[in-house]
Amino acid sequence: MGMFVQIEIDYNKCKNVKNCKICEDVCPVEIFKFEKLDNNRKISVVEENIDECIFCNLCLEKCPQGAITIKKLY
Amino acid sequence: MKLYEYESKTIFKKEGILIPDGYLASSPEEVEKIANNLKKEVAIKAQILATGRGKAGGILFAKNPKEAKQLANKIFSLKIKGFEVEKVLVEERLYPSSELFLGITYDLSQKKPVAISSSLGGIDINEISRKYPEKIFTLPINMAWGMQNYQGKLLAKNMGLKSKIMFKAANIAVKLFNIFSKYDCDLAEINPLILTQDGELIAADAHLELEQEALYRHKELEQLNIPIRKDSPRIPTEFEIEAEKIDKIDHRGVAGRVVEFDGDLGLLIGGGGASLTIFDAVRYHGGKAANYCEIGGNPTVKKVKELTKLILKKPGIKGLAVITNVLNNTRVDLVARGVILAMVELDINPSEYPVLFRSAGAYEEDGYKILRKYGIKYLNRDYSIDQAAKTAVEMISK
Repeated sequence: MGMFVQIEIDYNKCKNVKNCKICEDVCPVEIFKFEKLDNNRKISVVEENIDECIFCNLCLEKCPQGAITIKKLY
Repeated sequence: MKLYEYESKTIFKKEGILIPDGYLASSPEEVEKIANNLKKEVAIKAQILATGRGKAGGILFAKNPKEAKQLANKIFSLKIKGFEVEKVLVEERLYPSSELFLGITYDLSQKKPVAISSSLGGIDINEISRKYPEKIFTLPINMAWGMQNYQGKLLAKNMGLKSKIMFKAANIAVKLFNIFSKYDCDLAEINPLILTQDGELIAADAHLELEQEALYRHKELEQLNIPIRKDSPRIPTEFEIEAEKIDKIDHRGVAGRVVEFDGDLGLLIGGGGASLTIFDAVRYHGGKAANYCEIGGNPTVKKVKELTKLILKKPGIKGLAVITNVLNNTRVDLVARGVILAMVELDINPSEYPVLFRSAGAYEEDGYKILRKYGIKYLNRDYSIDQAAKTAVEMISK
């Protein structure tokens, strides 16, 4: 969680898609990071970049599972 | 980009303008060795990017290698107009029968290059034009056609030259113009152009300034051992160097162009050319800026944060003013986030520290919400830049 923005991924929804990394692809400020671990995949939020979020909402629009939530902390 | 004399002479030599026999040296021992090899009386010339080195003792003449070493010691210990002397050019000494001036620059009112010649070389052209304006001949040159031979001859004739020597000088003028055009120069100057006692014309000094915006077209400079660099009117301070590094963290937006001053009010300012106005307004109201610093074009939060940290860590800082014009390309909320993050990382309580915002434009409501949450005083677009500057100065005077 950043000081100004909170971004969360609902992993129960996120795990339903294989090799999806659309949030990492669309985010202009590199908040999401995709890692491939053996047969698994993991999308994580880069803590130090959260406060760079510009509320473009591309991740919300493009996530096929609707797994991302963004909240302003002010 | 200003070139050192030895760099300009490298170009002159390549393009066929005669220069004195000489080599570059970085120590008095090297100077002695070069003087020994030249087997002539030598001139030792400090290599700095400023004019007036002759008057400051940066050019000395030696009769033998031993004396050359002694004089080089003196020159290497000089600091001329803020520049340390790190290299010297050791050249054969010339004995002129006359010293001439030849230069090419742009005439901004005519919007074309202008060639200048004079029979009075060896002194600053501004001084010649002040004391002996009748001795200066100027000739506009059409960039599309370049300098024609007859124009070269006109320039040479007005240096007071005749017959064969006039033709030689005309040839040099044309070559100098070709250099000016080929290397995208703002200025190409030979002062003095020396007429030797045996009738040769030699460029004793060389001064080229290349247009910064056109440097990308000149890959050949690397082959000539001329590194591309950024001109600075003075040597940047550690604070300024650090700020430049921060600006390079990311290509997005500007959070840099920092100039350090010795005041106590830190500034983050910008907005379509408003920075200078803001800076002037601060001074007008009796404020002393600790720095000049532009922000604009939507820098990342991290860039604003790092720059704010740099300013707040500067010794003697009493407060911070973040003042911008009404901006539609730099978000108020992102700048506010960066400033607050910097304060938090430095263990500064934003609500207690003297900081004033006057930012308006994109996402200003979000920005104001953030500032209110952290107890930071702000002025909205109802207040002018001038009022904001006055408020900031009063804030730290209390």
